[in-house]
Amino acid sequence: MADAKDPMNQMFKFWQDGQDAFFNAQQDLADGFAKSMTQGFTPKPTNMMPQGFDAWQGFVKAWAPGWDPATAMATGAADMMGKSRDAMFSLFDPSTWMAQSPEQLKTILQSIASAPQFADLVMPQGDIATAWAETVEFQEATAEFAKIMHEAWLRSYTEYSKAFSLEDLKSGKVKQALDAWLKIANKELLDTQASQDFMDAQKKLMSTATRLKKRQAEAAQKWAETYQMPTRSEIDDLTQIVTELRRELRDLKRKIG
Amino acid sequence: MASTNLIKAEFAEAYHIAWQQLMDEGVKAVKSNDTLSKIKHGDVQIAETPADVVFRVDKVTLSRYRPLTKKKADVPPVIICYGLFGRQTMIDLQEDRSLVRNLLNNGIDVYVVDWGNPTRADQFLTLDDYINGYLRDCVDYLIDQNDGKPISMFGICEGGTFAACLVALEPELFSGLSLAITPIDFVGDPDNFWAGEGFLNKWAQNMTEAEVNEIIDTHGNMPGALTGAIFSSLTPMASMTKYNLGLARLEGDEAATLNFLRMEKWIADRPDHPGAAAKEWFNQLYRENRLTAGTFELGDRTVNLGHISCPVLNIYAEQDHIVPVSCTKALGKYVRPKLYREIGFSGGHVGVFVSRKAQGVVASGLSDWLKETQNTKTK
Repeated sequence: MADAKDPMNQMFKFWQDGQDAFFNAQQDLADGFAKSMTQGFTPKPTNMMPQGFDAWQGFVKAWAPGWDPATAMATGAADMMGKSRDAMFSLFDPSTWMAQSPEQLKTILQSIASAPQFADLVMPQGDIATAWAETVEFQEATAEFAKIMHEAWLRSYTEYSKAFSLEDLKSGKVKQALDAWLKIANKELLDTQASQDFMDAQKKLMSTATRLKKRQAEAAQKWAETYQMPTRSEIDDLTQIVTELRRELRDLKRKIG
Repeated sequence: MASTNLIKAEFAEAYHIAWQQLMDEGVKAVKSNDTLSKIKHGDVQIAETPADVVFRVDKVTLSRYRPLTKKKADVPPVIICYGLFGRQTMIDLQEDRSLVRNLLNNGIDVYVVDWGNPTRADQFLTLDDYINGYLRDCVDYLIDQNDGKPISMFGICEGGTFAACLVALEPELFSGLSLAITPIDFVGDPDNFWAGEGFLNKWAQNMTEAEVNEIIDTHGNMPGALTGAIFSSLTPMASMTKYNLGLARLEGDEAATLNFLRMEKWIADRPDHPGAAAKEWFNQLYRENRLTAGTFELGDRTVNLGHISCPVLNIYAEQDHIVPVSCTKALGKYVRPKLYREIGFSGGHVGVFVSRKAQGVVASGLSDWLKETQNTKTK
């Protein structure tokens, strides 16, 4: 029989228990999420990772008997952990979804994204939360942009109603009516596009869309790394090297020629 | 709120009546649909004037158009340089709207640069690579073919800026410089812009360098779809109604419909702009206006437009919503008056090449100017 107090065996046990805890936690999370979707049930955080935490405590005690992780967790770190954990469960609770304003949701997602990333297991949640926060920003930017355009159309309608009446249309001047509409709407849209409000809203829209695209590229990069595939940044590096070599070759050719 | 609702209701009623009457007179739209349904993809061809690739470097090719007439003008060969935001096929849209055919019919030897189809593999190419690298390579080839004698350069839009820079850096290689719808001063005269003029300038100047770079770095290049969307937004209602009202108003005219489709084919073929070059274009030129400030550098040399010493023809469009007139006419400040000439065309940015009247004003004007200023027999 192997000695249970042997540090190496403690470590193996920790790995084994940790793995079990991970799978159990995944199972709990999936079950909880499914329940919450169907019954409005909010999963309780206390049942999430006891097995993994006990294993971790045992491992730490075997290597550092003088340090009590439970005490450490009960102080500042626990507060930090608790906030992120509560935020995450709030995230999975549909009853809170409609009540969240984008700003509140953004704060919650931000707190998850910046949670302590001491274990690889936390990372996917962090990435998802960050991407979600950026999606919310993009949606806000889209709404702001749409508002400006909506106001521009309203101004166009107002101007058009002054320039062309219903009676004009009834008299059969359809082509003139349409031409007047096109001209008035075009002018209003051009004036709007030249305004600072439009410029800023459009810039924000492009900027938030760009960040989402960047996040997508990062996800693809991580996927490629996981499967030992060449990543985009590696190919970009090679492209840059080839471009510089072609440049040198051109200069040399000219010097020789 | 009540007045807004009233406006909405009145507009809705007006809109309803308008469309009802349109439907009553819907023969035009039906005719257009009928014509469209008979046109096959293969019927919509552009850039059909025969040409042969005579030089190639990386993705860039130089093609020589086959002569259309036996007569030969006593002018140097002309190399046409288009920009990277669109395709050079615009200069040869269709047989009766082709700058290239007009020049060839005047006996002029015409070459055109094709930048190819930039991809992420080209994202690190700079303006220096394009101007002092590829364009210079094409020019060197052509000068070699011309027994070492200078050639004439014709630059269009961004390609005009490339051409002006190369002529300023290597004046001894060129007998003449003609430009069309070319930005030189990237600020222009904003106080006197008409509605819709100079939007692109303002748009770029509203961005920070970091914001420009973030967009380009994320995509690798400046996506053609993005620049296409920006160009479309410069004529908002025309862009929104061209596939419905615009097409209906063609009343099924086959020639007009084919012309419309050829333009659409050209517009849809918008390549990505290589990233590093796009950053320089927007940051150093649009945002910092370095060319007119005399601080624009290509490689280790500064471009001084005052070094242009050959005859210059500057063609601009009076209703150009992409390159304001004041931005293009600025070149006149840098060239000696006796060498400088302008043709102002009453039309828009693309109309300079594809409209019917441009064939007489622009194409003939360019041919006449070449014969007058660069006659190889009298020099």
